[in-house]
Amino acid sequence: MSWFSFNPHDFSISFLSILFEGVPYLFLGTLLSGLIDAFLPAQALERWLPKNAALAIGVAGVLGFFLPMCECGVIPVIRRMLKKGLPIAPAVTYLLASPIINPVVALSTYAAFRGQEPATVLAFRMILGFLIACVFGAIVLRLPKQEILLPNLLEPAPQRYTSLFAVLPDDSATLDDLTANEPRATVRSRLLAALRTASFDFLDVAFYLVAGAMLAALFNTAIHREAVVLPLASNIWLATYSLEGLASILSLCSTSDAFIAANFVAFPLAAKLAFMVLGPMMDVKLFLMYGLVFRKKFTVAMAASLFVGIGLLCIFVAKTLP
Amino acid sequence: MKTKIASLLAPITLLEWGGILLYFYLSGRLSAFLHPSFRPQVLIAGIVLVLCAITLFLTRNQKAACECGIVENCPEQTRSPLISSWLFPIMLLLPLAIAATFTRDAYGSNILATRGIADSAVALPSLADKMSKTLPVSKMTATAPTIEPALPDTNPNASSTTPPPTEDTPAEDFFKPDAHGNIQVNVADLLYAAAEPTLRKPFVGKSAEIVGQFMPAKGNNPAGNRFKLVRLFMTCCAADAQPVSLLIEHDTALPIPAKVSDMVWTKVVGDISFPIENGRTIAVIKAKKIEPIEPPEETMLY
Repeated sequence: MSWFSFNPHDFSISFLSILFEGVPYLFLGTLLSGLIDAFLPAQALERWLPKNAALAIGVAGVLGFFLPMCECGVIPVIRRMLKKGLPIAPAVTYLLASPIINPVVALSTYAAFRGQEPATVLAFRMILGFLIACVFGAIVLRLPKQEILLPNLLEPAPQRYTSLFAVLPDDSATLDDLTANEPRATVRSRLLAALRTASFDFLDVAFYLVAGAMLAALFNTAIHREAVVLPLASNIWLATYSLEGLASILSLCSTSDAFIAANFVAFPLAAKLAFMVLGPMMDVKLFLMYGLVFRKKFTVAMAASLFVGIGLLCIFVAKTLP
Repeated sequence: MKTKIASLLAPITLLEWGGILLYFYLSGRLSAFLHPSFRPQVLIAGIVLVLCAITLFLTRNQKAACECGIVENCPEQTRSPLISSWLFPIMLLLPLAIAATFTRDAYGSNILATRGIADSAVALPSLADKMSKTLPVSKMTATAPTIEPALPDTNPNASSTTPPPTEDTPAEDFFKPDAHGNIQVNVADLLYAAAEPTLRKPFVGKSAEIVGQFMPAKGNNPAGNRFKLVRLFMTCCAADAQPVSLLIEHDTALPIPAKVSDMVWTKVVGDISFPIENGRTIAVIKAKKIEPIEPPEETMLY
């Protein structure tokens, strides 16, 4: 087969490198998720967000600039925030936008495209990422959440304690001691609880990261890129959707994907933008990981609509540019 | 018994993951997998994962935090059903352990076929970006270009006694010959130089020492006396590594040593030239010495 050749050693290197790159950021996300669970009172997020739904979606779209998260780390955080009462529309907006609307990604995109109109590429990546995330948030706003979220995320979180950092007089209290003093846990025991939550969340999400990394490594090392992808570069439609397909398969981190995109010199801008906008929102690894938050039917619909929608939008932008 | 095993599985898994991260970092094997800027995060994650494993192990008999009202969503109860199944150890324990045990830390020639070998700087991070990380213009030449030559982040040949040029190294030091009269360059340096006239100037006619993996030259080889030195250029991790190559030309009086075959690490000493072929300036080393060597400490270029 001229387009496929599997080598277990190459597969193994690629698989390990994806894990080594992703695990620290994934763990950071789950640690944040544990801290949110232990220290953030339920419904606090809802109170902090603007009451106007459209404004809340807009705020969530740019929140990534102040709370930057990578696409792997954001999933446990969002799962926890949804359980904490964050409305679903801004949650989905933040989930999709934060891996792109993010200072680290902005810097890496600018650096990767130096000499190739970096400001234009960066601006389009940010604007398209923001718009698509907000549009998706607005669509989600109109859907019943029973059709979107997994059943375990639909149950409202009980209001178990009233204040942050409530400290018991005896700071040496153990977890068992706290049963009788439920509303007031020590900072130490909350930290312990956060660590336990983070550990279980990590294992939960790592399960899907491993599956995604295996698929990505397989395509990364076994598919002959020149034979499969390069012949498609001359047609804007084929180029855009083939690079979207490649982004979905390669499952690159949003902080590094621009360096790969910048090297597709034969491809039009639309294709490169589609590669950089779709990748952080939906790829094989994320598709599996979204299974921890969304119902399968919704995840499939989201994947298909993002794939088609981002491609169309990027082609439209490229064709209307002077 | 089943519950006891289940309560141990989580700390064991975290310990395995943390242990493997720490082992790869401390043993230096990580250099084949990650760009240097991503490596400290692996160390930190490894330490924290091991600490989490110890915490989970020591608190495994304590009442779950969710029952105590500390956390609202019990992680032990809300995690996906897959985690409680036989798939858990298969996915989280075995693949990582098998890959970490049997991986060779270096890609084989198959990767050159699947990713293709780039022979120009267009496959590398853009020229201006690379240049911006190097030297101030004033340190180059009197007629300084607006951009500077890319200096290697690491020594291209671990056995070399010449210290690797750094961002603080003046250009004069980079072009200063070693005891044998050769400058130390890598494949990426010369590909960048071939792409930019102002960068080529300081390299022209210099004798250089360069290392890479041998591959026969199928194109650009009319007289049949050329081969390629290939290196992998890593942007973030090995998954994105792109093979790049440089042409080496040798006389019939200087045969390729018998031990040099496909993907064998090879050191070449020769004169740098930039001929124009098929309307494009390319970099070619006219070899004076070709010899097989052990793989360098850092096999990737960054």
